[in-house]
Amino acid sequence: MKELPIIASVVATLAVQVANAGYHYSTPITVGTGGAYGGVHSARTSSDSNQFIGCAAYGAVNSSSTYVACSARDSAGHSLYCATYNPSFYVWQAAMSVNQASIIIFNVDSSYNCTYIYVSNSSTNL
Amino acid sequence: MVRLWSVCALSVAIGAGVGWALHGSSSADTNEAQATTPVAQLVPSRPQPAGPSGLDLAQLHAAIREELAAASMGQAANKPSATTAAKEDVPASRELVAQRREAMQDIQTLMASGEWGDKERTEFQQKFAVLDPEQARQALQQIMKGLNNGSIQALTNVPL
Repeated sequence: MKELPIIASVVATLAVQVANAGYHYSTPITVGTGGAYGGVHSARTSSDSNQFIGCAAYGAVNSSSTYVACSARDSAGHSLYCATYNPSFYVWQAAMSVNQASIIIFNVDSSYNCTYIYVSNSSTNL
Repeated sequence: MVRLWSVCALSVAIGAGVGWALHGSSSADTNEAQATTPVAQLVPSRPQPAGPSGLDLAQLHAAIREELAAASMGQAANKPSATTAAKEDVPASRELVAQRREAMQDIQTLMASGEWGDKERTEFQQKFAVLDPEQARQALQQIMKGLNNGSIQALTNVPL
């Protein structure tokens, strides 16, 4: 019976922490034929082991060729990959701004070139 | 009397001619100066007294000139350099052509294995650096096609 106040205070502390977690919005990975989108954090913390989304950029000092590539897989295992050869600086910059707070949207054309990369970084995605 | 009139008419003609010539050269100089004036020089460079806010106008103008110059340099840097553009115009040596052909064959072999993990990605990137732009574009598209149609199985979340 003496433990009741302790338990109550622990429960109260946890409740306050949950209440102060800030606004959160989960964006699971969605993959279509022409594009994919979703949150990096949502994918990482999803209950399945399928989801991922991310982008990469390649550059080398011994080559004038560069590329940006993005990839995603949804919970059902559908995946989509795209790459753009020698992208514009702005496409490169979008791909490189991805972090754990990112929601990524990318579109692909029929040759699987990345035609559109959108990155939104926000605390709500964490 | 006739002689006097002739002298007067000649003086007027010479005066008009000289005047027209001076006017023409002055206009040409002005246009030329306007056409060749860099943007940064449009800001007056003569020293100005400090304003009531305490800002030194000369320093302000110098700062603006630096900003304009930096912006011009930045724009130039964003454009593809002439050397880069010309690089592909120079015919590749026979050795380089052979090296590129071999690199392309190695990439085809990597794709034919049907699996694409970190090892394949690393090897691909080494070969990719050698390829000419058309080969590089083609290789990227083939890998993307393989990954998306399932003929290449991705063993890593970041296949490229």
